[in-house]
Amino acid sequence: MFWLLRIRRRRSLRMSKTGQVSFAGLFFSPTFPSLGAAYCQYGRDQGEAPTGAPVPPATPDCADDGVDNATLMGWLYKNKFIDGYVEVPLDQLDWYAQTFKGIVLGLVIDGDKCITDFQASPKVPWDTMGKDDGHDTLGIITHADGSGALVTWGGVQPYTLGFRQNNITDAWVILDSEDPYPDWTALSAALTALHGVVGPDPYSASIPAKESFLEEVLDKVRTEFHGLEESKTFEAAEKRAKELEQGLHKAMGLALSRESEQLILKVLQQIVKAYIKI
Amino acid sequence: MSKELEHSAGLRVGPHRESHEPSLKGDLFIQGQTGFLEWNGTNGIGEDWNMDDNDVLVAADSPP
Repeated sequence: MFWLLRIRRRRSLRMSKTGQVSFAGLFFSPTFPSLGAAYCQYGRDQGEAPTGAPVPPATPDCADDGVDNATLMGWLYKNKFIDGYVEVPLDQLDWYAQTFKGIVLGLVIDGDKCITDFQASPKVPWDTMGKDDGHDTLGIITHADGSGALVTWGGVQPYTLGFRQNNITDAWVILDSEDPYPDWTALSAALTALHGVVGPDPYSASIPAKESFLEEVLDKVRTEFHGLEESKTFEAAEKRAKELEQGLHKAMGLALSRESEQLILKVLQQIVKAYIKI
Repeated sequence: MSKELEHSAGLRVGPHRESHEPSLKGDLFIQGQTGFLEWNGTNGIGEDWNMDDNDVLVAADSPP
């Protein structure tokens, strides 16, 4: 499910620029209630039979039979998770990974060997191995000697040059409309030829209405962050962002320590009163 | 793939499903560069948030 972590990359970049992990929930308005739910929907859309959720909690109707990247990327595009994507020439893998902040890697592996190496402490780098199984991961580190590391199973797993050359089969990057590198005119034509004109998100209608004022306030906060981009000067934007950051940090700290919703709401209302006109 | 190992670890792999889309090859739309590069996209999260080694699995019956 690595890929859903990248589908709102622009927002993730903002989070990483500020260094505040607690911003994650504030920047992300999921169509699905969880990452797992979206992944399960992908499986159902491919006509897969229910197999149960890949991770707890148990979801009996979840279809989890893996992915192939061409189909997955097309599904993400057609459902408006992403603005675009391309398949990466493997001899340019490092440049694409660095330029687009991560790269989707399709693998052939020996599953037993991979799990054993992953569970070792410290981890044993994946080296040239058998090709009985498949796996899909996110490349996150590259080295000048051709080795690197990828994200899988909630950890960062190193690999060798031999593994790269023998066990990485395909690589893809997710593109945002703001990315300057693609020829967007040509790419948009190709995507339309493959997938047709993409309409509204077919799942957005299933999003429940706002259940509480707390959610409403959070929406206002999100809007305010978007407004920061329109500040007249960098200094003004920076000052406003810092003030908001401090207030939101306090609210998120309360949420993380499982304080009552009323208390969190009170803090958020103070933020709204001080900084946001509603 | 040993199901015993897969289940005991709670980790999963699947069948290999390689696929390609020739009309979406990156070099048709993006001028990239070849070669190996030094890059770390983890943003130092492990170090900055004191989460180094948080991915080391611990047996369920281990003391806290």
